[in-house]
Formats: sequence, C-alpha cells, structure tokens
Amino acid sequence: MNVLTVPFTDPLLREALLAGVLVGIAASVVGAFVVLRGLAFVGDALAHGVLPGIAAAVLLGVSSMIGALAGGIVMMVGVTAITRRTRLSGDTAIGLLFVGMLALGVVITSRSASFSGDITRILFGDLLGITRGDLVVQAVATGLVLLVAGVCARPFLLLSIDPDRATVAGFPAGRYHVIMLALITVTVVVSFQAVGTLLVFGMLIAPPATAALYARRLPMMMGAAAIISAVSVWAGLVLSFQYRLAAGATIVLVQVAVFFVALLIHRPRTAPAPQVVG
Amino acid sequence: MHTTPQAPRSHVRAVTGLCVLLLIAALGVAGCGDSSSGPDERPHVVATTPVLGDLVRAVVGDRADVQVLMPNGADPHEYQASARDASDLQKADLILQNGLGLESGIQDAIARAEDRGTPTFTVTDHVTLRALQHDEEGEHAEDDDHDHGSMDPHVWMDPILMADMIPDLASAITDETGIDTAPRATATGRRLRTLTRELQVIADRVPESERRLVTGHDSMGYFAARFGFTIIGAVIPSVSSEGAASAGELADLRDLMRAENAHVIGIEPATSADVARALAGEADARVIEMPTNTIPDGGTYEDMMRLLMTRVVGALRAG
Repeated sequence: MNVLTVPFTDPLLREALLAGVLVGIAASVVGAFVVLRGLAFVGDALAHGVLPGIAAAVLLGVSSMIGALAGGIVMMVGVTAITRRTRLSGDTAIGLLFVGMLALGVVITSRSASFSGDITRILFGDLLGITRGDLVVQAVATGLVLLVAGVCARPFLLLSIDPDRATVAGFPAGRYHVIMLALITVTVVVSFQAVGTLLVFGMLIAPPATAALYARRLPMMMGAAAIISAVSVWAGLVLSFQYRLAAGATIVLVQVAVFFVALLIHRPRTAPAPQVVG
Repeated sequence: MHTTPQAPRSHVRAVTGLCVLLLIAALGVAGCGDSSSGPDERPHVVATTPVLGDLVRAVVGDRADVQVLMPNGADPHEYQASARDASDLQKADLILQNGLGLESGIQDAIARAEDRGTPTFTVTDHVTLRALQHDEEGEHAEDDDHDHGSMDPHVWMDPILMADMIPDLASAITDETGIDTAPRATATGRRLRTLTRELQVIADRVPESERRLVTGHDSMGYFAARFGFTIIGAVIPSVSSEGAASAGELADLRDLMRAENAHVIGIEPATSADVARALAGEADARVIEMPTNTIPDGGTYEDMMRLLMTRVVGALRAG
C-alpha cells in the first residue's frame, strides 16, 4: 500500500490532493444537474468561454479569476439569449459562440510577444502550483456551490424533467435555468487554476455520468459522483507521481476511464437517470 | 422527492465496488512502476532543462545527484509538471531554472517549492539580458516595468553568457550543498570561452553581410548578437513557441526574405514545419532543423552548440 500513500507524505501533494478533491466535489454536485438536464454541451461552452477573459486579464495584468468571471458572464448571457431567441437549434448557436470565444482567446494571446506558454496553463491548469490562498477560495466556492445546489435542488430537478410543471409549481423555469448556468460558471471559474478550462469539463461530466449509471436518487448520485471524483483525484496523483505524468490530465483521464469501465460492466435495468414520481 | 422504489443497497454496493476496483487498479498499475532507486547520499540538484542540467553537471561532476525535469528536446514552454516533479522540486537542495517564463508550465510548482524554502538559482537573474525587438513593444513600454515579459529568455544560446554566470552558479551550489565547485567551475568557464571562439571561427566562414536567418520563434536573439547574425524574422513572432503566426505577418516575412536575400529558415521541434516549408517555397529558401534545446545523444551543451553552428553555417554556404 506504500505506493498509494507515499506521495502524500509531501505537504505539497497533500494540498494538491485537497484542491483536487474540492474541485471534484463542486464539479460533481453541479455536474449532476448538467448530466440530468443534458447540458453537457452548454457546460463545455461555458468552460471554454472563460478563455478570452483569462487571456485579456493576463495581458492587462489583472487577476485571471476576474477575467475568467467576466468571460464566463459574457458566455452565460450569450447562451441564455440564444436559447431564448433563436429558432435555430440551440446547439448550433452555442457551438458557434463556444468556438468564437476559443478563437478569441487564441487571437488575444497571439497579439502578445511575451505571452509565454500561458495557453497551456489556461487549458490544463496547474494543480501542483496551488497556493494556500487558492485553497481558501476553492473551499469557500465549493461551500457556496453546495449551498445553492441544496436550496435549488427541487426546482433544478423539476426543470430537468418538466420545465412547464416547474413553472406551475412556482419555480420560473427561466430564472432557475440562469441560476444553474451561473453555478456552472462559478465552478469553472474557481476550478480552472487547478485543472484548466479543458479538463474542468471532464470533472463536471465524468463522475456524475458514472454515478448516473447506478444511482437513482439525486442526492445519492451527487454523493457517489463526489466520492468517485475524489478517489480519481487521488489515483491520478499517485499515477502522476509514479510515472511522471502531467497531473491534471492524468486525473481527468482516470475519471473518464472509470466512466467507460462502469459503462462496460453496468447491466441496465430500468431508467438510467433519477425519476420523480408525483 | 419520491422516487421509484428500488433497492438502494445495490447501488451503494455498485459505487463502493467501483471505487474499490479503482483502488485496486491504481495499486496494480502504480505498483509495477519504477520504484525510485535507493537513497542517494549526494546533494540533490534539480535542473529544469537538459542544457541547464548539462551545465550544472559540468560544475559539480559526480559529487551531486543532478536531475533534469524536462525530457531532451521537449519544448520548455509546454512542459507540464507531474506530481513527482513537484515533490522532487521541493526536496531538492537546489533548483536551477532558466526563468523569464521559459518554464511556464512548471513555474507555479517551482514557486511553491521556493515558498517552502527550497533555494532556487534563476539563470536569467545572473546574465545581461537582451530586450526583444518588436515594433509593438513600444506601445506597451510603460506598463511592463516589473513584468519581464519583454526580455528574451533564451540566454543559453550565447555561451559567453553561460560562462559569465558559471561563477555565480558555482557559489550558489557551494553555499547550498557544501561541494567545492571552484576548480571545475573555472575549467567549465574556460571551456565555454574556448567554445565561443571556436564557434566564431565557423561563423566567419560566411561573410557577416550574408549571415541572415529566419527562425521558428524568437529564440536565436542572443546567438545572433554574439556571432554576428541578422535575424530577418520569425515564423512565430513570439518568444513563446505557443504564439501563432498571422497571415499578414507571414506575407511580410516572405517579402522581407526576398528583399534581404535570406534563404535559410531554421526551425525547432515546436515550429510548424508545414508553415516553414510553405514560406521556404515562396521565398526560395531552405528549411533546416536547429537543435536549440536538444542535446545530441551522449553529447553535451557544447556539442549541441557546435552542431547548431555547423548546421546554420552549412545551410548558409550551400544556398
């Protein structure tokens, strides 16, 4: 068992583990709704929408988290406007917005002669460079996400099954849709430093999707996703330590691998997702 | 929330089983990994790039355990740290890094190790830096006072700069590890100066007015300044290999190459060979591969510099 614990005798790796687990918990809770509502593509778009914001923030010398938040808000407003107004399939317009934001990020960075390799850092994060301050921000954000998700669990769930009935039950579908997008954005914004905008999407989708194969009630799905995510973070760090692999990418690879293993051994019985009756 | 009656126990078991499976898999995979070699009593120096690793080995010989993080030939701008790297950095007696954002993928991990008291020697703090010469630099000149972004990090391309920083490096090593580095440091410095004269002789085979080069990214500035080359432009006009070429800049570069009669494009692993070849085709130039961060098999930094110079000069003379 030595090989599994030895990496964490190092306080630096303990902090990386803690940061990864915090991201994993927040992403699992939010990701459960994302998976249930079929918002994976929107989640991906939001994760990449922050890229130009971060790039601009780095160029202007302001905090990259503020830039990420600005980028995320622009993306959120865009996604909301699209889903409300267009007669086109939402996917098409959101896809264009997503590619546009990604391209804008690269264009901004390409204008700077001194933008040393930051694109890699934005996309893949730097779990091993997490500071104590980052950890505090992460912990507060995770708490906040849990709180909002807890308060809005019922409308979110109704929304994922029958938006009309949610409205009838006194939960305006539009408002809760925006709250959900905001939750995804906040999760992405506080997580990109640890795992990057490309990989945070994996953490958002993979563990909840794995949990959805087995869990039939929402709280259980969230709990299971959080546990799977945390164990994956730990296993990924062990593998990264043992084989000298890039830390963030290894963690997400483990989470995705777990999903496909679970999919292979899973024997579908009834409905694959939580159901609400009455 | 009412749910369809199911046996929740079986789900708990499924998730637990999955986690246990994951644990076993990780244990199995990690267990057969390379078990770290036994404890090394020698002081431990971690260098980021192969070039720095070679230089520090020249100074300490086999009296310290020198570890190089980045694989030979890897693009230092893109390297991502592993958990082991982070741990090694923190346990090192001394970290040797280039600085100026060259190691952007691991700079946070290095900063954390520094926070925890690992001494770090940053090469670019100990040499005379060269500013980047870009037209747009002027616009931002006021606001990058503390941001070293406008200085060129590729200092190892000038062996004299390396020779100049060797005494500082040697005393840092002595301070942190107690190894007496003075004799080897002197010898290394002398060898690097001899190397520079040798390289200059090779460069002089081509008249200075014909030493015109186009490079992959802005990596050859110090080399050019030392040996009298003129860099006409770069395929990716950025100190980072992660910049991207713009169509207008490429067209301008092509016109410039024709006007200046530059017919050698030196690329590195990170440059898009397709873009370079297309440019070469239009400007009637040839493309060569420059080993700017790849130490030849079994060779040293000095061998790399010799290979680089012979290749560049050979291409210039052939054209």
